[in-house]
Amino acid sequence: MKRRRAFPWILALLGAALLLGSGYLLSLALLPTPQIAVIRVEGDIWGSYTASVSKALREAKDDPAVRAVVLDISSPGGEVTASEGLYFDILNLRDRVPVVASVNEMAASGAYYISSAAEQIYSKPASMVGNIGVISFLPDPPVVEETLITTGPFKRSGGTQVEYIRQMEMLKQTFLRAVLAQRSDRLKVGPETLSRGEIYLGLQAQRLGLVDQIGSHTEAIAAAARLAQVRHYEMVDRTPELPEESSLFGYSREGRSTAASLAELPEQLPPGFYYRYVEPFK
Amino acid sequence: MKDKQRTLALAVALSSLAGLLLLLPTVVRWFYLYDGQYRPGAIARPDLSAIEVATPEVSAFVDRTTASTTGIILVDRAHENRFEMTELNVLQSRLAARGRHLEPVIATENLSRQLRPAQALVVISPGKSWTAGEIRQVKEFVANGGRLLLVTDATRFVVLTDDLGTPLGYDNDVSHIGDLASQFGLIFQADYLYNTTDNENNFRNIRLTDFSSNDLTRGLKEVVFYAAHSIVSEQPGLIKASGETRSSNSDRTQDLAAAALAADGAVLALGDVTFLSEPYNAVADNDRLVANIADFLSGAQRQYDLGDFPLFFGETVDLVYAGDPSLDGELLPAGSALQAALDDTGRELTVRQDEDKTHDTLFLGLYEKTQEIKPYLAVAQVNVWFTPTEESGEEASLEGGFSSEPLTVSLELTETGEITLTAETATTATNRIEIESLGTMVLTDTALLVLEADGQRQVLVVLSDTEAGLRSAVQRLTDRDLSDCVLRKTETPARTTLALCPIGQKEPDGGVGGRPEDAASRLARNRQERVLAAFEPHGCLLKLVRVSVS
Repeated sequence: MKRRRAFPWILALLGAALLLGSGYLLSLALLPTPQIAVIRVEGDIWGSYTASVSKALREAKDDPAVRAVVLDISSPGGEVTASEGLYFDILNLRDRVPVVASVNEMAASGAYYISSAAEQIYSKPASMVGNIGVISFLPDPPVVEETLITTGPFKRSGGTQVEYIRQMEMLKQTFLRAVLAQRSDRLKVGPETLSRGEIYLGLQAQRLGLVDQIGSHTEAIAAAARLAQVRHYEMVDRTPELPEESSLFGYSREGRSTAASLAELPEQLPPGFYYRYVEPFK
Repeated sequence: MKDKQRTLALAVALSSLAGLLLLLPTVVRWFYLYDGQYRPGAIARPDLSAIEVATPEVSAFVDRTTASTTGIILVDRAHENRFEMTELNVLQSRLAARGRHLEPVIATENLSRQLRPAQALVVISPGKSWTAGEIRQVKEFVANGGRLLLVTDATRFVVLTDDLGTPLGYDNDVSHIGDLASQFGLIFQADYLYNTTDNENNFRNIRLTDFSSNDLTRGLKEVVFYAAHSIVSEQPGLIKASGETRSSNSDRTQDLAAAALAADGAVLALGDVTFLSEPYNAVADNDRLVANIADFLSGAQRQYDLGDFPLFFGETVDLVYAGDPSLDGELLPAGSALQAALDDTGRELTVRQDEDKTHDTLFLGLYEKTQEIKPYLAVAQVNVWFTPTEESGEEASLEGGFSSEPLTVSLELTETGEITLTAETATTATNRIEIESLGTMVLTDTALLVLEADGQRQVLVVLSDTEAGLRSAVQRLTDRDLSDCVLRKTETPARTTLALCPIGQKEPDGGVGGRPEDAASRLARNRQERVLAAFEPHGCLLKLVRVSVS
């Protein structure tokens, strides 16, 4: 008799356990562990490399598991359009997930340009940050040649040297406005000071409002998680794979482990404008 | 019926419970993983529409000038100067409009000679320092009315490297111009001026609107300098930085000058060379400043002296033979030499019988016939006493004695080997010349040169006792050799320079009077020298030793 009465309860308990188990499996499927995607930006910011980083950002945006992105930056900057492209990619990404920049050795010039698109910037006390401005070699004055014929005097050079300098000034103002658009409420210096192109230690940069916090990469990730309102998460490295031979300005990435070593002015700087920090001597 | 309802209710309850049990883990998991939901705020995009970079205002300046005189402006190319002559094309054209042309100084061995006819010297971004001797010659040039333009530029530096190519530092132009500039109280700083907010499309292209009143800044409202050094000077700067323009060295904004004057306006220092060349000369009032600089260089009033013959003359000079000397084989070549010397400097010589008081004039004549040039000698406070007869003299006492008057001593070696001394004082000489503040001198074998400024007119009087002496005097003038002459300068009653020179030059073999010496004369001279060597000069007392010379 007693056995007959207990059997339904046992059945009910088993049923509940089964439902809870199924519910757990369902929750895993419906709510994957949130990911904080880390994307490293190292070395020069340039064409092919930027395309890879941009793709990684898009994939992070499209992946519902990614709840925040941390950019781990160690770069002296690079091409103007490459930097600008990443800046806008990061702004687009922020429509869905927060982005935090974590500066290692250096976030100079174009690297600071893209860092400024992040919601927050972390740096170490000795990180090198800033160097807002444009650098370029002036084009040669126009010449006429016997065999190479053009249809205009500036077909080869692109313009007069005076006009070239005007364009550099426009790009400088573009850079400033990009930074001010994201950080004007936090900056403690004006555009005339930023225009000087100085590079600051992370400690100085924090006091000037160029970075938000002094802290490690782990703290930057934790900050991204807080912004994303995430309690538990897993960290995923989404840095794109790059071919070992990839290089900008003729450098090989091999053997160049620090951003400062990459700040050397190359032997052959291709024509064009750069948001890039270069060492003083050459 | 009631059983059916009871069953249905139970089924609903069980389904709900099952659903709850199924969803509960998801809910719990959500709260486990999340604090809330990320809601992005408004993401600002940079406003790029307001970016405006003005095109530099181009100057409409037109240089109008007519050249009435000509002149030379020297440009230093002897100190590894870091510029191209083509960068001075605009300045050259302005100078050409004023009748001036640029001449490079390639070497400085004869710097004084090169500076002599020049009105100004331009030194731009030297890569090698000026020596003390060179600096002395430039100082003398400026003291004699020459103008000096010193230009440096912050972009004209060289990176120093070691043997392995490792950069060691920068070698800029201010370190090489410093010794020269400091002689005039000017210091070029090893910096550059910049302004990050108010500039000509780049922080190093500074606008300058603060000018001191001077002919050099006439008509200027704004100029633009491109990466200019700042200049420290004893006087307030000529063109000064203002507003937020700073020095790259100190980051200060006060007392920064990009151009300065020194040496009573004879020396101009500029911290930039770029504005002199195209297209930068066309920005703001840069072109006008270049024209003003051309005026500055062309406007030097050189003070020439006898030693600068014939530069003290204007473009046309009259030659008047005073006193109607014999135009013989001695004098005619002298006239030709004068003609050639004037031709070399672009001057025209015209021979006249009578002077034209509106022309620069060169008088060539003998002491004995000085009537027509007496007024000029009077202004120079010179009296000439000339009697064309045998000079009288007396033998000086051989016992010794003291004479406070200058003696003219002549020795004669007789055939017997004895020496006869003849001495005469100047005041006892029949032919003498009295020069105020110099005294009285015997004029035998001398030439007198007197340069006088008679208003705008220059008058040069050259006198001697013989035609040969005149020729020698002309030779001295064209060679600019007054090294053994007695010189005197006065400013009142008129500016005069006077030189009393011995006539003749020593030949390499010791001849006297400009003629080769024959053997007999040489022997006699050698004997004379041995005798003279026996004299022991003792103030004005001479002890004579009569010697026999075989």
